[in-house]
Amino acid sequence: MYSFKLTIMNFRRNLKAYGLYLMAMVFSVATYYNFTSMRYNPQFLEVKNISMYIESTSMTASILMILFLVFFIMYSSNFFLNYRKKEIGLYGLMGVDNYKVAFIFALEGLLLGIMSLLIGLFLGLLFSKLFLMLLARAALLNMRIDFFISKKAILETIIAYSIILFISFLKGYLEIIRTNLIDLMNTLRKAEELPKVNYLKGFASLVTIGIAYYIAVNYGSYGFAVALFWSVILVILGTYWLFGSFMPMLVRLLVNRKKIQYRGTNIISISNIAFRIKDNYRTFAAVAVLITVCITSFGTVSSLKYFLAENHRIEVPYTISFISSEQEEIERVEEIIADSNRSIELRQQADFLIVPQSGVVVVNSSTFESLLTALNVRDRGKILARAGQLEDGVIYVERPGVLMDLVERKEVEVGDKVYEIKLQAKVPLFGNGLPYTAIVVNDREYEALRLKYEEKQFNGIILDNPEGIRDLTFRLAEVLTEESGLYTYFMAGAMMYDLVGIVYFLGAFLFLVFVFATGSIIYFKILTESFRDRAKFEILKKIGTTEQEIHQSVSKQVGLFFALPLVAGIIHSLVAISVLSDLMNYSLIRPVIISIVVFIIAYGLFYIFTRRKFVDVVVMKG
Amino acid sequence: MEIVLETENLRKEYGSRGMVFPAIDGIDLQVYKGEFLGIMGPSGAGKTTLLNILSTIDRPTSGKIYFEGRDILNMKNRELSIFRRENIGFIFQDFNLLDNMSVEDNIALPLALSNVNVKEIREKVEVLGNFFGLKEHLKKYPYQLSGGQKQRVAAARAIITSPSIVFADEPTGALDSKSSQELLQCLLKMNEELNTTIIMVTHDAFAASYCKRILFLKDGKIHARLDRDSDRKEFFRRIIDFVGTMGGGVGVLL
Repeated sequence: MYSFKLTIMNFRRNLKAYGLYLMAMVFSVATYYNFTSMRYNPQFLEVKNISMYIESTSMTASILMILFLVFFIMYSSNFFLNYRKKEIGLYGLMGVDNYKVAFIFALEGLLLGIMSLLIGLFLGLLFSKLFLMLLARAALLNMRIDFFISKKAILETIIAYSIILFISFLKGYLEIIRTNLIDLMNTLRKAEELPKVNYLKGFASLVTIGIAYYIAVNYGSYGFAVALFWSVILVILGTYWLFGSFMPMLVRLLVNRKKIQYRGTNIISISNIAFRIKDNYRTFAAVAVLITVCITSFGTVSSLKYFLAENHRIEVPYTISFISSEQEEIERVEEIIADSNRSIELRQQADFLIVPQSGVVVVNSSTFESLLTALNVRDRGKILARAGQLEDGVIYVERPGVLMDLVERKEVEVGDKVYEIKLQAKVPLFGNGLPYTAIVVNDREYEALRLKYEEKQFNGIILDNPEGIRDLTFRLAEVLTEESGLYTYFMAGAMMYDLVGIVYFLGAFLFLVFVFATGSIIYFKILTESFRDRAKFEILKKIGTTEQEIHQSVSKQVGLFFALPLVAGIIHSLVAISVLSDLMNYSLIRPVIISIVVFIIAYGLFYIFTRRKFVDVVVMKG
Repeated sequence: MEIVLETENLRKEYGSRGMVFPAIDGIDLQVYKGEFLGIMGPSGAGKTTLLNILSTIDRPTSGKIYFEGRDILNMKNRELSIFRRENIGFIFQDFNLLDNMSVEDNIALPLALSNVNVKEIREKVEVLGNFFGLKEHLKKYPYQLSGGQKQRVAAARAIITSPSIVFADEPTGALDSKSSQELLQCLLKMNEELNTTIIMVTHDAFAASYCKRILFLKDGKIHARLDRDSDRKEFFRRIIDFVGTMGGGVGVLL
């Protein structure tokens, strides 16, 4: 069959041009398969407490991948159409009718899609064990992962991609049928006009974003859900206007600032951007929003991890803790510890009252002070100063294990009495060995409460080396009673942290997928532009622009196209994360800087690729 | 008189082993300062090839080119680009303006690339804008201009660096007769008032009649030369007559 042969011929010839497209498709297929197969993996499904998380991330990831693909295929097919319009036109000139040409080209796209589907599935299968092993490691699941091929996942992947490929086949086919020969031959030669600038919208964009930030930061007074909803909507709207009107306004200003405009290659880059920014503002805005999502979500998961490390100190301040006031029992414990060849670094005892109906424990301010001092808590000076002058008020110490508290409390009930909260603090006190909110009252008040509630003694021990105390824990469990609430460093390791490990791993993986999506969208969009710039650079070369100057101006132009959404995205995410940091009551500077740097590195790689390809196109190498 | 451009036995061959044919076949040429030289000839005579080689866009197969005494064939690519920007001006048939720059930016482009002081650039743009009658159009963009205006912008861009030579490749090719005449007047003014050296390739006898000297090219060789000694109308008649004798007929050349 003649058209099929032509397709195969074309396909082989253009394989190089398809490089990044293939890579992106293969990557997305492989990722899609892995996320889907995770849901069907029998080993993971057995682990009850994580299967729910896995299922929901798997669903989210699959949906995101499909969304990405729709975007991606749209941009890349436009790019390829532009890339080869002349060729298509030539077939037309030779008398091949539109239907046949369309069929040849659409078939080529389909072939490419099928190829990437097969390669992607193959690689996906190959790497699935690695992926799950990493996941299991991150989750601290102590199990061997068997090689597992999920027929269901393969089928699902094939079905999802077939639908997408078929739609893009139809789209490509229809697009070519609808073109005229004359358009194809004169493609890219249409005169561009200077876009009009809407000053009102330009300024409105800044105001809108400002309002969104204000709402986000003051989430307390609007309620969290309402603030989240409105600030997201307003930020997206504002970002679209920002790129649609404000940025063109800014660039227009630059064009008229001859001092900047007439400095070397600026004249080329700035003029080009002035014309292009309006055409592409939707992409820029979408990329800026994507970047925000990327950095914020990665920032969130890494903050969570960081936060947990911090939290660990609150939850497990002692290597061993138990509740007992019997001297005999305490001595037995010390004997067992001595038997295990470890030395005790700190031995702390504290009396407290337990108020079962309110779910709180009460300590007096002098006990509080000695605990904080013994544990060497940072910034305790300020807290202790307040503890010294409690009249009728109390200090509210958050229950260990609470990640963030969305409500600000004013009062607390202790039994039948209500106290005013003077200070809400998050400091290590008893740790998870006594997992209750602690209320600090002054000594006089404590004595009064002691008459009503039972007093107990908390014993905390810090050993020189907390690792490897598994056996010690079991031996202690033998001698201590059930009520003693034995809690050790070993027991802490097996709880909450595995879950965060999963969330972190999947979050990081999704982040990677998002970076890839963002990068490839902007890559294809900018390269589509490059074809319109060919003639310009040809003229520039003729009038004596050196190759270096061409490289320079391309770097600037492409660089600005990458940088503008990046800056907007970073600012948005900084605001988002500052809100998060406020919620968690922790400074999240470190994890945020890490996630921004990681993002910039990955994004920078795309910039380098794009820039290089752009130069190839405009100096006619490619 | 001072020689600006000189060639020695210039050759350009196309094709590969066994099948070479010369597009330029041993041309010796001297261009003097302040000259307005026309190059005419039938299609395929090698006019555009010669112009491209003289203007350093293309390289000859053999021979020498001296630009104000400097051998330009020894220059490296980057050197050549800068040399071209600073010493040569171009006017093309299809204008070759940059669509996304305003008229003033288009004119300023070569100087801006060379990092000339902004004040100086603006002054020069203003002077040239007045010279070419583009004063009201400086803030406009090429798509808002007529063909004649665009070509005048191109002319202004060509001479803003005060080049040694301006090369014009069929500058009237895309213009109607009225705009053609206006543009040729401009070129003449450039030549006479600013003492700009111009080399113009054309196959339009009317355009050629503005030149001071015309070289006729045929099969890559200089076939004849014609000097203007009388008024333009008389020169025009002589050109037409000559083209008639050259073979190929007037119709082809007009």
